[in-house]
Amino acid sequence: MTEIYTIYSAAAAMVMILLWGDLLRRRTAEYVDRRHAAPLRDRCLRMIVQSDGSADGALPPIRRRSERMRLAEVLAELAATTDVAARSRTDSIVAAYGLDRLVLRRIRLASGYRRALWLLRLARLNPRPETAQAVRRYSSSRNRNVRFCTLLCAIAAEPLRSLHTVACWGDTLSRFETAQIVTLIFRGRMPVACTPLLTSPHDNLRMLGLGVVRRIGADETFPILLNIASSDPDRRIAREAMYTLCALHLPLDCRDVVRAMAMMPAAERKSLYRFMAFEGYSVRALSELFREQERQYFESLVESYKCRIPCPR
Amino acid sequence: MSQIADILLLVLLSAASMLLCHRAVRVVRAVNKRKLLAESFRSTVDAADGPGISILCGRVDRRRLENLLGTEYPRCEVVVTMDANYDHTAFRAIVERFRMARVTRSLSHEIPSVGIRALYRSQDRRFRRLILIDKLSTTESDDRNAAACYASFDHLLPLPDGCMILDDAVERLVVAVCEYEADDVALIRTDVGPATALYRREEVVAAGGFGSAALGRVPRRRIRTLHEPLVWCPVRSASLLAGGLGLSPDAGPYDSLSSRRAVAWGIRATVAAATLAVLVFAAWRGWWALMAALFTVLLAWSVACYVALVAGGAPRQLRLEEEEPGVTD
Repeated sequence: MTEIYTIYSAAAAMVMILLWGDLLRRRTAEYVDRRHAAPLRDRCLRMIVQSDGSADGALPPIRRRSERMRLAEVLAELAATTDVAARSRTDSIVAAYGLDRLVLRRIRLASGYRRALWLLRLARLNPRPETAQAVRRYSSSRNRNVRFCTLLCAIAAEPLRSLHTVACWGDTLSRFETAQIVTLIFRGRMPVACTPLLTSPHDNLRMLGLGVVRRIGADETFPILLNIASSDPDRRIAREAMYTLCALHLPLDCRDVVRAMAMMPAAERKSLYRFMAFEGYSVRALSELFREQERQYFESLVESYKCRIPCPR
Repeated sequence: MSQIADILLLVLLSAASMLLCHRAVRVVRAVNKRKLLAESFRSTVDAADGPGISILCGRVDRRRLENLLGTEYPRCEVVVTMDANYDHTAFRAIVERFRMARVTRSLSHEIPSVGIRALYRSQDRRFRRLILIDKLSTTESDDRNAAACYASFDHLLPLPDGCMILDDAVERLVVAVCEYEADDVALIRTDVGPATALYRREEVVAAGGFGSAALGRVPRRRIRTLHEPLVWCPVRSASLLAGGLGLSPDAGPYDSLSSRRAVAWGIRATVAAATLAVLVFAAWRGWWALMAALFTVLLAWSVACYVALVAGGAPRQLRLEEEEPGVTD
């Protein structure tokens, strides 16, 4: 038994060494990042801002792979918040330093959420169709975030086929994922029109359409929203359509809305009343929708948003 | 017999070690996921159509309130419950600083609560996410129930006393809520750092409020666990030892971050040195079973420190105050 105890102790010691070694590696990487991230971000901003848009503006040489990786991270971070005008400069920087090849290599070597993070960065660096093709095999990964970031890469590489790509995606888009794709739309990466999205037979495209309508306040889609809220076969999308109607402050005292709310469970209706009160609907504007106890509940919510002037002490 | 006892001991120690390693792996995965989501938040922070979260808290000071109001997620509010008679100075300071005005109120009676005197909302648009309730101080559960009555959103995050929220914690919870169907999950909790849980409002109402026994009996299949901290608390002196064992992200009853860290690391080092000394003694005397058990204790201590250092950390506001005093004033 002595040998077994010794082997066990040696294994425990090895695990401890690995843990502390990983901790030391992380702290060192954080320290190096803190020292170099800010100056590198400044250099990237100068490269993007000072360019005249031509691809052969002067770029300083960066030979070390670690520096180019850091450049790719910073560029992806900046590309997520810059507009179309800066995109051509981003493309020239990526081409000049071969950042897409470097990021592809990092994607191959990583796994799990780290792979998803590098896929997200690749999507922000405007990959070419061949680059997106190289990462297509990750669309069947077990990790949902990896699959979603692969979808973002495909959308960024081929914007004209993006709606087809979203429609063919195997999973149901969550609200957060929908928001990310809507953000891509508003950064000019995807051509889109609201009505075809809302009337599409694909659930993901209808969710996307609702997100776009909420973002731009497209009041003209009111009849379509009513139709979705009252008769969509997917309850989740019907509920989202109701919330979209409320977010746009559209009139809700109509038969379709009454029918839609009658189909909701009580808890969902209360949640919707809270949203309506938060959006500023008055009791009179929604008088057709309530049952008696629910009217009192909604009145109590609306009352708490009002200020009595002068306030009694 | 002694062989059977040895085998049993080894099996137990191996199971404990594997559980510890599994915990470390889960925390690392959670940290990687958080980095991924932090990158995604940067481009979608203006999406105003996600699920709403109401942060419920009791007595607060200005610094803590500014931390809570500092979250960038638009559909988030802070509901503070205080007793204006008991905490008169702090209450008046908040009313003046955030331009709170007394508003009309009528109780919804969804969740039973007593002693509510007044409701305040801010007249300043910058602080429209703050709600202040003047309530007779009774129990923590009753204070939370009062806050839940006036919360606007569908998810409630009651904060432990004295805690501050970490950067991106609200956004992290929003993503976790979006990952599941609303009916499938009753609460989302964390097992790293101070115990925190995000509740669905309807679950709290159905259970009869915070503090009810029914809320503590939520089926496990309706609970989701995040392996990362959401809040940060200065550990008080009674649990300084727990902090020294690496069981919470930071430890110490002192005000500054650096002194807290120094105390925590001092205690950690003392515990480790004592364990190592006993381990060396056991090895010298040939007490192999004790040596293996002490290695497991050291492994547990290493995993605790690893989790605390990888997943923990103070909010950015406090770090800024430490590095540049007066910059956040």
